[in-house]
Amino acid sequence: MRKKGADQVLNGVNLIIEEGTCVGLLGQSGAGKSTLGRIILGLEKPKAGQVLFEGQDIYCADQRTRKHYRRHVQAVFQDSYSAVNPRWTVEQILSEPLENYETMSRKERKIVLIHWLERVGLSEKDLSKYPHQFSGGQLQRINIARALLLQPKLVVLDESVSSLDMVTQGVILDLLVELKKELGVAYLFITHDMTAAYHLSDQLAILDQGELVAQFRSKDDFFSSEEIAVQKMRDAMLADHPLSRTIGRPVR
Amino acid sequence: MQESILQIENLHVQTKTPHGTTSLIQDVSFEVGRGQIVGLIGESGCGKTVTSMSILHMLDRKTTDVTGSITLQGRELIGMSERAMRSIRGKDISYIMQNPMNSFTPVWTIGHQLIETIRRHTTVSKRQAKAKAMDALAQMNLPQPDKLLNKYPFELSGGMLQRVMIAMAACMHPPLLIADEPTTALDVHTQKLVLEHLNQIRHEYGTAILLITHDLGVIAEMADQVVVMRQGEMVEKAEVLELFENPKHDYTKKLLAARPSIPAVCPI
Repeated sequence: MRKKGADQVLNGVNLIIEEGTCVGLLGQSGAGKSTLGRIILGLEKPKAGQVLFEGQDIYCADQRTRKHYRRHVQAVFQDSYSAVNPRWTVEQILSEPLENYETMSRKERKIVLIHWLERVGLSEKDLSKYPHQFSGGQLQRINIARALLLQPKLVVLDESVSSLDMVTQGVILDLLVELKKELGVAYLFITHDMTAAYHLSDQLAILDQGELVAQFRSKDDFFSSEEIAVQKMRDAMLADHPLSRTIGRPVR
Repeated sequence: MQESILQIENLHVQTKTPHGTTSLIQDVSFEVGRGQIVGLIGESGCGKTVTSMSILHMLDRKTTDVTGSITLQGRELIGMSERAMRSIRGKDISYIMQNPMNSFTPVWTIGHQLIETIRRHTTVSKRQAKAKAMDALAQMNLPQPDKLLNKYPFELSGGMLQRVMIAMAACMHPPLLIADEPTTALDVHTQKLVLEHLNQIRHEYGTAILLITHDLGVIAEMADQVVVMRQGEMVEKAEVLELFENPKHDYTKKLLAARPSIPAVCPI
């Protein structure tokens, strides 16, 4: 997959996401991470350049290719509540993609839904609940289930864990890693959280003011890179142990 | 132990619902000394924010019941009148919220809101208050304080607003600052800057800081003491190093293990 954006927001970006890999897209706020995500999702047409999915440019494809594309590229956003219809039950929310792309009876559909709910750590009795009855973490699991139940090739995760607390974050990240192994799905993980990106990604790409300043085939190269934007990013990381703190009072 | 600023003993908070009373906080006790940063951690819904709200009397008096003892520099806050509380908020206790976009009034300029806070608590003229406000902004390394005062909240970025919020919280040199998830809504670059500002206030004015967060990185960087909460109860209270090196409670161990950390390859 390849795309080139112009204008001020994104400038000459080339990015390839291979089958079954996770690319972590890091950058400051305002760097254009989410814009790139939206372009890849087919929501915003770039002024110049192409987005190729399985060799086809999605912005000048015919109806069938676009339908195929929309099925195989899914998204999970940061705010889990605004990503679902508050008046729908979980069953309705999760059924929608299946109704659009699959022909199956209600009974079959229910079996699929229950399977997926259990897969993400919820249960059958949650089917009749409404979004407001869930916590942010639980609802994000439902969003993940909705994105994955069509077995897509790529999922764009735009700050999908950023608003969750650390315990839930850890659990959701583990779930995403597991699902990737199991389904062979590729992720574009957009975040500003280096620890989360490191945990989930195979490769890392760094976006700074609309330009892709660095791309690492192996995530460990991130720590040896001399690139200024990357160094700045490493400097902004918080210590994970009080002995290596740089701000507060020294502990020893 | 230094002079104690805030002392909380046997704090219980209960809320009345149509189905009876539910307990939100049970038996929480800790203290914050002068110039000390106490971190309050736990997952969402564990009562961190309720604890801070009960210190400030910002819970609904009709439906919640706060018992125990909260003393600020020797004065008992529980049972204090609303009027007396008003002069404590902003002057003796400052509060920084998670989302800086929601903590300013959108229709007034930054300057208006800063000057209002200063004049509410001191007897200075408008001009003196303005000078003081500019001072406070300059202290936080905010560029062009005079221009900043005429801006509306929507004209500033989240990180910038949070720094203005800290400047505002610090300008009265309060003995206690409560920072409720001060960096959660910010990106990592601004996060470090904001934390440095908080540390600067602590050093300059000896402000005691109650730092509420779920980010262990923030705790590792800042806290002297840590209080761990779960489902309204305090499960552990320890020095920060002690907590990271040998956590006593299973829940603390779970918290420490929850977040993936980057292996020691990083040469920082």
